[in-house]
Amino acid sequence: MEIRGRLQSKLLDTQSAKEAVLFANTPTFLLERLRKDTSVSYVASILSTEEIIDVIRELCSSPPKEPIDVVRAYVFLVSLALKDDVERFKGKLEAIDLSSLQWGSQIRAKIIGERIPTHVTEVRFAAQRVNRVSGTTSRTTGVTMNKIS
Amino acid sequence: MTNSRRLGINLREFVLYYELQYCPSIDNPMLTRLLDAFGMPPNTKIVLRTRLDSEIDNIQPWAYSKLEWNRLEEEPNRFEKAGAVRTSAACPVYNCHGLTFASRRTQVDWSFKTVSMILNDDGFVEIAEPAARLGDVAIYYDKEGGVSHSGIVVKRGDLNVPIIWSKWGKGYEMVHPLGICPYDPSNVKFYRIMKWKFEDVFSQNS
Repeated sequence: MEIRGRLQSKLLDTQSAKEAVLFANTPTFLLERLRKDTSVSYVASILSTEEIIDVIRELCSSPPKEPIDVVRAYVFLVSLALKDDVERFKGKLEAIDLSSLQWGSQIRAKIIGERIPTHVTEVRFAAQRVNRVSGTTSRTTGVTMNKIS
Repeated sequence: MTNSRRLGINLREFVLYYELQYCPSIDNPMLTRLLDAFGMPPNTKIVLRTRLDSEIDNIQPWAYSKLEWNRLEEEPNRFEKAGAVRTSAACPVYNCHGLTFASRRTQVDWSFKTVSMILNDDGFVEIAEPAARLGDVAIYYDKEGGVSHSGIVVKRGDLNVPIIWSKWGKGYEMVHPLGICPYDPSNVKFYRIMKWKFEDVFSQNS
């Protein structure tokens, strides 16, 4: 696929990502381990959120053929946790059938859930000073020029 | 005389008769599961219950061979170089809790709720780490309080560190010092079955 062709497999298929998938007992463990993995940050830095979601949809359209495909699917999914705009594509992401990944749905829910604001910080700024216009006004070729004191 | 003629039935009926008589897969639905539309074996589950007869949620993923799973990991891996010992090939069918609580039969649900239910129903009581010995169960908790791993204490090693026998996800069974594993060892609790008596477990009505 064109999008995945932009990625180097040696940076995508890291030993630590394979280990995380092989040894994971829970989706929480898998999410936390992969989130820190260089393969995930690599994907997040190269591809846009929408491109990542397109790749996940393609990978999950049929069951992975071998375990390395499972690893890649999880790497792409977790890379969304590093994207700030994933909320904009929530509907598109939720429409993907992730049943071919044992913990796909739980990880997706955690990624989307993490984006829900839990508190609001109100930041106030001092009122901006408005420059007052005074003096003469001259009009030249339709452009208004104000002299500011 | 062919067997079918001896029985007075045609060949098709004979094949069916033979399968019904001699092929256990006909009678045992567990052995006649079909592959899915993509040619992959479907996940299955078994009836699994605690000592107090509570149902334990579980799943048996069959996809990919042990050879294929083994390909994900170097040999020896970094944990083996640090002192862990691999004692089996990779197997996706059972997980750590499947080894600890279910004789390798299945992947036991990883949720805190399920593991707590098993510990409670089976009569486990928490013990202090220095008291842990052969046969006790070690549960690794993550920072959120969830359960990330479990295993069985097999001995005390160098510096009196507990040595654990556990199954690592879809990977291997390993015998390893408490902290030489992929799971956070900073919050491990130890349990021993101490409620053996009927009156410990059941309230009694006279």
